[in-house]
Amino acid sequence: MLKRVLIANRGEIACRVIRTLRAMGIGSVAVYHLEDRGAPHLDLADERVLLHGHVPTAAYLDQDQIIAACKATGADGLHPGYGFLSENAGFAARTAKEGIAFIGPDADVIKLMGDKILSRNYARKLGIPIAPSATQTGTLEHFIDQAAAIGFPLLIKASAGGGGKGMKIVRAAKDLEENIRMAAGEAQRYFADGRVYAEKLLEQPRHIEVQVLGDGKGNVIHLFERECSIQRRYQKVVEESPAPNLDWKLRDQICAAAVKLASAAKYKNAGTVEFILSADGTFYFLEMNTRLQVEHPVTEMVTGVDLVAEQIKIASGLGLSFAQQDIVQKGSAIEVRVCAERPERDFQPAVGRVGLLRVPVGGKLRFDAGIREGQVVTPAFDSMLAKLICCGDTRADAVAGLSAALRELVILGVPTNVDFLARIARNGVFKSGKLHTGFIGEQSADLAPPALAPSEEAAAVLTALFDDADFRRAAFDVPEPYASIGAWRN
Amino acid sequence: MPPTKTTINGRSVDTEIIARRPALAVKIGEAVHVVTDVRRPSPSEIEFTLDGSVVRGWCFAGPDELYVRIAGNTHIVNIARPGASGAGNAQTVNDIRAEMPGTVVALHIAEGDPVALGQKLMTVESMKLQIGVVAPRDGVVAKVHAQLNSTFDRGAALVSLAPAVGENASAKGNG
Repeated sequence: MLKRVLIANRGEIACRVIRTLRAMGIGSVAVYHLEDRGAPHLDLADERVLLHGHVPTAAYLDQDQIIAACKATGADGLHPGYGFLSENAGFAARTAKEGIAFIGPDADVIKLMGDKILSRNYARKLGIPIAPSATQTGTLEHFIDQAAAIGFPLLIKASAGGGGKGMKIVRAAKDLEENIRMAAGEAQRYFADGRVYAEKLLEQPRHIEVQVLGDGKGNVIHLFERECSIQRRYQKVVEESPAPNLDWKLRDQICAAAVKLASAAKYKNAGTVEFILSADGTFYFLEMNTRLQVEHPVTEMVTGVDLVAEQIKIASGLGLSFAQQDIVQKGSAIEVRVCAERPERDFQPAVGRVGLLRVPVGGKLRFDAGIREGQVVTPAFDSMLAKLICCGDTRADAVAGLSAALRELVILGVPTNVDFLARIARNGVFKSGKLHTGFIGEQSADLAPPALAPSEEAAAVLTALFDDADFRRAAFDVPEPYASIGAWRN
Repeated sequence: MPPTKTTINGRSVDTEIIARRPALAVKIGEAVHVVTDVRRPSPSEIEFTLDGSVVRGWCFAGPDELYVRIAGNTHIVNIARPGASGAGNAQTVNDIRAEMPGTVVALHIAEGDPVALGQKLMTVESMKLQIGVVAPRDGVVAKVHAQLNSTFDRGAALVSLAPAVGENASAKGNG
């Protein structure tokens, strides 16, 4: 078993990994940029190493400094979390070469799955369905002809892409050439790789993904599916397991396709195979993420498996702890991503300070966070502050628990999407489980903040005014500082 | 005390203390409310009785605005300070400034256009994300500072708003 693991990440995922390391009696090493010096992952870890960088993200991406930190602290394992260096094949290879166990798959598998065109070809050869598509092999004119032959609407995607960058929807032949050029331009800027491909766009599709664990020798098990159809800006907002209203035979076919792909690749460690499911029940391979996902807690809650513990056991050479028949999906779990953003302003990221934080607690709740009261929220990082996860015996129980927990959650001092998430949890279509990736746009009227009743407006304005010393003085004639001491009365 | 100008979630509401005794009476918008039993159960909570119903809310004062959470809903309230040039007050700030550096990728309005609270003015690209810059209040576009495809730094003025035509003519629509 590994003895000391360095977590090359920050925020909630660093905290999450350290908690399992502690439970397993394994030492933990946190790394941080000066801008994160008050962050909670530093308190949880046994040791801390400061990384230098002109911007914080540069520090967490600095391979030399991170390898040096492993050496300096005697770490024999490295957990990359998600984002940053987690899907960097070169870094995985280098870590292994330095004698440090990279807690993830081998470099060649990261490379294969990281390239969308290569991985789709790989899946197709295995007989796994992929959406009708065209890749540019010859001239632009030839590519345009091939793409148009698939039929509209089409989705133009970056081969090296992710997060919706370089993605364009084309509904008519006349717009094709311009959109291919635009997508290629964006792809070049974001990923330094201008290759794009065209794929048939499914209307009202669902995003279904399968959690897998592999031992690197071809033995792979799945931990069932997650539904991640509720998205904004092509990024997931709500994730759940099991997927609601999914026929169990179809579910088994999707899970089997995921296992087939991962076994063929001799996949090692935890990974996720993503599929797109059309309204008529056909599903297509989308991509494989070769790391732990943000939404992994919903799988943990319904299967009872600690995925980080399994990752560490596999990286320690202990293989899989479970056979497929040991994995049972029990109840229902839903996660929401709490972000510093303004949903009513096109989900614009927001900055501020976590001035007040009150977290709901309960046996069926999990709050995975990398924030604490007083922490400044800067534009230096992703806007996700925390994840709130709730489980229940049924989906209706989980939704009700989530609604109650969101009502109880207090994060003040920075604009957040908490109330928006609560409106999703109360939305009739969401409750019915009839989900697709256009849900947020389609339900935008119901998800918009409701107009305030005059009594609610008065209550909110007065609460703010009573917090204001000038107003209190004017209202109560009580001289300050007496009025600010505490239990003042009129 | 003269009437206090406040905004809640970008909407302006005038408030004024009408009476202190026998009970505190505060005019908010057009209605007068009676407030009793004001207390602070914890440093972050405020409780009072509003027209006979108990209100309990969380409150946190940020540098420019107050965050209030009541019954599972969060509101952002600005209180105008007389003489403080209204810094941070959505109703008096005329310049919409960039929260982070970026590039203007689309412009949806022109100078002289009337705009409504929440209306998208321009699309900017910051931190690899395309973000809509929206009007923080009703108004008229007085000046567009950041032109299409231009880059800007954090804090730069993007658009200046003049007061809406007929401002202070009381609530429109759902008021």
